[in-house]
Amino acid sequence: MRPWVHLLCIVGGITAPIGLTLLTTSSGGARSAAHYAAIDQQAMSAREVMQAFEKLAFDEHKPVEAIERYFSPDFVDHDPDVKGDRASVIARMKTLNWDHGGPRRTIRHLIAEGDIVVIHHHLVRNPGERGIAAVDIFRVERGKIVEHWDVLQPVPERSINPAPMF
Amino acid sequence: MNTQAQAAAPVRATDGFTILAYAVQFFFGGWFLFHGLNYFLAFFPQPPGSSVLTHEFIGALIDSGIFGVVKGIEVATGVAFLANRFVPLAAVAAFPVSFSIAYINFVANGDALSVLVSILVIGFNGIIALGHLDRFLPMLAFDQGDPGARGLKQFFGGR
Repeated sequence: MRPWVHLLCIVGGITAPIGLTLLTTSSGGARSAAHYAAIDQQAMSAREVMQAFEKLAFDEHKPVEAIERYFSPDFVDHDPDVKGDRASVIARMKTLNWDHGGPRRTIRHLIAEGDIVVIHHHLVRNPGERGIAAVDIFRVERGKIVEHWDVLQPVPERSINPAPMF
Repeated sequence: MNTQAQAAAPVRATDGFTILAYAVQFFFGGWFLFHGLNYFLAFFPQPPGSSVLTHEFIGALIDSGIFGVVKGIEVATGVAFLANRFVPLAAVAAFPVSFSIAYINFVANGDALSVLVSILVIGFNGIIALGHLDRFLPMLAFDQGDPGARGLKQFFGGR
C-alpha cells in the first residue's frame, strides 16, 4: 500500500466511526442522552426511584416533572380522593400550595423490599399546620412507579399519649 | 526474527476482496481505537449500555477493573489495524472482544441498532481474518504432529 493511500485510509478509518458515533448519540439518534437516561432509570432500584422522585417533587418543588418522569403512564392510585390515573394525580398536585413553602414532607422511615417501597412521613401541606402522619406505599417496575396506596392520620392538637407521633 | 510469515512474499493483488478487507480493516481499526481511547480519555460519556442487563454488565466490568483490559485490547488492535501491521494477530486478539460485544448486543439489547452492531462487529472481524486466512491455515491441521522446537528456532532466527 502506498504511503499516501495508507494515510487516507487511516484518516477515513478514524473519521467514519467518529461520525457514526456522533450521529447515533445526537439528540435524535438511537443512542441519545435521553435513551441512556431512560436505561439508567430502568436500572435503578425501587428505593432509588422513590428517593429520586421525593427529591425532585418535594425538595426541588417540581411535582409535575417528577410525576411525568417517575410515574408510569399506566399508573394506578388507590387514593379515593383522586380518579386514580396519572393525570388525576398531576391535577391533584397542581392544587397544592407549592409557591408558599408547602407542602413539605419529612421522611421518618423508608422501607424497601423487592418492588415495594413504604414511606412513613410527616406531611405538612401548608406552613403552620400540624400536618399529617402518612404512610405511602408504592410499587415500582423497571424504574417507574406503577401503583400507590396511602394511609393518612392527621396530627391531633392534643394527645393522651406522652410519646410523640414522630 | 525471521518467521515464515516474514519470509513469504507480501500479497500485492488488489482484487475486490482485498479492497473490501482493507476498507473493513481501517473502519474497524478506527472504531476500536476511538471507543477504546474514549474509556481512558473520555471524549464523550461512556455508554452505560442499552438495556438494564448491559447496564449492569458494563458496570460490573468497570467495577472489577477488567473493562480497562478490554479497552486496552481495543486500543492495541485498533492501532495495529490502522498501522496495517500485525493484522492477523490483531484479528485474533480482537475476536473475544468482538464476540462479547456481539453477544451482549444481540442477546441483552435486541433492538435494531444493537442487532446491526452485533452482526457488523462479527462480520468485520471475520472479513479481516478471512483476508489473512493463509496465515491461519497451519492451525487448521487435523493431525498436527508432535510438538517441538521448530517454531522457537524460526522465531529466533534459526532454520
